[in-house]
Amino acid sequence: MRGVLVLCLFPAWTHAAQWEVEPQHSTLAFTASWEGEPFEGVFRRFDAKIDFDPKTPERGRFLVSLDVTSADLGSEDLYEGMGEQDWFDFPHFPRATFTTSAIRALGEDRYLAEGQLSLKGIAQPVKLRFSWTGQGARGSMHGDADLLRTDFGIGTGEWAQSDEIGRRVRVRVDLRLRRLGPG
Amino acid sequence: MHPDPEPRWGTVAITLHWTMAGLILALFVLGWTAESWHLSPTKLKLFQWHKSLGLLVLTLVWIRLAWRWTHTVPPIPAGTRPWEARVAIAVHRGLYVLMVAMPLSGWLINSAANIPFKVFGWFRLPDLVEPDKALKAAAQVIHLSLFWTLAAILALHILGALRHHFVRHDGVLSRMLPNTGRRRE
Repeated sequence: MRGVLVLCLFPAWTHAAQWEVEPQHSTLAFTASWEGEPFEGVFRRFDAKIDFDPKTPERGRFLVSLDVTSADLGSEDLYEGMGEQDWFDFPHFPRATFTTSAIRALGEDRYLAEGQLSLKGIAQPVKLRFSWTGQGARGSMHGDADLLRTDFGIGTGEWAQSDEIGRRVRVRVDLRLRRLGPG
Repeated sequence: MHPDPEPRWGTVAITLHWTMAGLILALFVLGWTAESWHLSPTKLKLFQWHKSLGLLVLTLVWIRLAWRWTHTVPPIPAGTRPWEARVAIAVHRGLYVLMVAMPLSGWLINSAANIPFKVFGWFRLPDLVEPDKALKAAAQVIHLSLFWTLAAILALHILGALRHHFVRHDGVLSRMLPNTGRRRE
């Protein structure tokens, strides 16, 4: 179903090398801070369509789609707060997407993907640094991106001016990938 | 003629008593305000102070108990009826138990709810238990029940002290007041 959607969005998909995520071995996590103390959350449900060949990184494309309400903060109280209107507003914005617009090599196995993160109905440019290792049909990708929650209207009102819950958030992706068919 | 030391509380005991009286009052005000405040940075700050001061009480109460165990405490005045003495002893023991149990049950709520918390913004408080929603709810009921118990026992404690002072005129309250030098006896 989502595959069909992706194909509709990207009719000119280049099929350099397509990969699918092995969810049970992959993590999409974020680190935020609470009164200066880091705390981590993970998104339990997400999917990524990855078209990437390290020989031609500039032709690669990622589309990450996640269920924001699948966040696990290890705390019911924090989860309830996170769903509030001032924060992620779960009822209105249950999904977020990240779509790359350009990927370039940084040397060794390091790359930089520039793209748009659409979260809570707001799209903003985000840079994702990542490393890529692939061998035959198996691949793995580890990346992180820094963003300001306030850029996406996450934590509005009094929260926007407060660092009780820090404005800086680091998103981390660790994906184990399986190559789809011959490139 | 008293062979015993003067039947007054020592400076350490008096300081601890009134410091903790102030802290308990502050804890009540902060806890109640934080609980009723809307979800906002202010609410988090109120809770942070409430939790930090609660842990300060938990620390001070051990010092206080240690002082009690190593010092002779002023005697119950002669002429006290046995039932009054029993009530006085029970009230004091109850207060000590509650000064330990209240912060512990609060710590339990914080641990079970898995809220990151730094004591006075200084160091991360270790968790007593794994995150557990049901346990958190139970700990909240315990914390609130202990609060009402504390309020009732404190009322007895304060009424008792005032009765000693204004009805019995026996100096039981005065011996816990700072020595200002103008005390008669």
